[in-house]
Amino acid sequence: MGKSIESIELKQHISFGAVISTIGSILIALGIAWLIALNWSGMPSALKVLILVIATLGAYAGGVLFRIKDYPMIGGSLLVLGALLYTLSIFLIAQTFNLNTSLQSNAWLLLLSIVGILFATYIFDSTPSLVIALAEFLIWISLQYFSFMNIFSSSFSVGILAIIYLAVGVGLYGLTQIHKSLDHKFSNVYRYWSVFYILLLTYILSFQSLLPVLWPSEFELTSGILFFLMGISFFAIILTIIGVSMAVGKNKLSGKEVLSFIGLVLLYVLLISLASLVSGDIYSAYNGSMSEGLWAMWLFDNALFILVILSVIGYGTKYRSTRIVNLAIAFFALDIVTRYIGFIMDFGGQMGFAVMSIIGGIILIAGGWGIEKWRRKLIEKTREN
Amino acid sequence: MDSKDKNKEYLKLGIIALLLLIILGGFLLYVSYPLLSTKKVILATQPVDPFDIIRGQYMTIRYEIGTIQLINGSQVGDEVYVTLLEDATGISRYKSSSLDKPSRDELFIRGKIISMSEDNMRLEYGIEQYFFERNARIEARDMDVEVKLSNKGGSRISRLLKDGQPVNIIYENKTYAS
Repeated sequence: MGKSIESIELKQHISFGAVISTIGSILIALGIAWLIALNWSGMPSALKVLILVIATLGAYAGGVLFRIKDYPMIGGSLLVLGALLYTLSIFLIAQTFNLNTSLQSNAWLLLLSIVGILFATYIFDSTPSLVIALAEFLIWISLQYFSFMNIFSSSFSVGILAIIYLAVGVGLYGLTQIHKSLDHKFSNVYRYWSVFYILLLTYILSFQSLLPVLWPSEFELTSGILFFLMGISFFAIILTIIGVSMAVGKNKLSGKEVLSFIGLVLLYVLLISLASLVSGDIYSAYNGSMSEGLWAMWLFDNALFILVILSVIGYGTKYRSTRIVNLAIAFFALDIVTRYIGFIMDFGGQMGFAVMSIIGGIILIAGGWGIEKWRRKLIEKTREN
Repeated sequence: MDSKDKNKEYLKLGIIALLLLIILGGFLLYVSYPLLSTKKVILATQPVDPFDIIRGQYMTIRYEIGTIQLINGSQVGDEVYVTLLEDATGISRYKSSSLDKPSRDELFIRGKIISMSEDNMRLEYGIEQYFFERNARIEARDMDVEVKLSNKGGSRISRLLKDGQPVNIIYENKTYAS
């Protein structure tokens, strides 16, 4: 008994000492960082770049050390910090040498960042780093589209952006299957992001004001944009074919799921193409004379949105992913809020707004309680499965 | 973690450190390549607005050679080589332009056509921005820009000049009370 009390006291003593030392280290690091920040503007560019590169490598080294000491969460966080510092290094070098600030220039810089982060992700097997890489990829793909629009003097079309997001979603599904067949933990991350792109695409298609500008009246598809689309789509399809073949071959994917996925993709392609029948401009939905075709398309898209959300919930439940279930519910809540605001805007008037606000508030309170209860039930069910 | 796994982790760290240094080093070399050149020119600017420091604290610079005569057969996106001639004041001005690269003996800068009108075309050389730190205050307008040129006509800004002297950039110390 005495020995165990002594050992507890000793442990506490060591822990306390370790804590104090850690605080001391943090203070030193903070002081150094403060000194650097105060003198940043006066520092030569080479020194700034060197500091950032050292910080990047230091973060990665710290991440590795913590992983070795069996602190995987702290190690993972430091690897994320390394990824972010690496991205900052690239942009700082660009700024130091006064590189072009065009959309394309920034897109190239981001692509360079993503390549480096992906290397680190796979070498360290780091899920948080993969999340950073995929987040940067979303920004890059959108930036690249707007850059091409600028370079090829193409007019803006939501339809092209929708096709890009669909292609990326398909590609990510392929990557999910490739990693699932190899029993790699990254399959969960790719699965989450492929679902995210599909939900994002469906959300975009649910806006009645955007449907006429999916394919605006004056839109012309330039060769540059076409090649970009074809390139992304081709790459995505190849990835999916490889992924599905590998997963089906190892009995990790059912034919039913493959057919459902193909059906969903074809439905989206059809929907995006059919939007050309209601092409107009951004004011078409507000000039008081919405065509029947536009109404029908909008109602169908919103019904599809709810159906996709429910399907994603089922998908998340099947793969025991509470994150995917939460994502679907978040988009559901977003849909409710968006439709509510749209309803107020379209059927406006101050009296109407007042009444709608009260009714809407009651619905939201009740809905918020209901959604939370529903979410917890689903998560519980997912965990039980 | 056993020693084998630890060694594996250190090896991974070594690999990624090398890879990132190669990527960053390669990128650094690519962007600084013109600065390694000994070819230096001073370009005149059209009125520079030192208060155009908005996006990420940078200044937009328009050059005298930014707008030149139209070249027959050219289109937006084409690369254009502008041959320069130094005047009595040391400023390098427009001499001629071509879609073909001039000989190495000539002093030239490479640009890209961004827009065209009936008689003229606007070029971009990649040196139209100069970054500052926050709270920068520049003493003078109507600056000239010293640029280094590579053998292929690539360019990078090396410094800003006013009357032949480097421009003094003052950084104001902003506090919560200022």
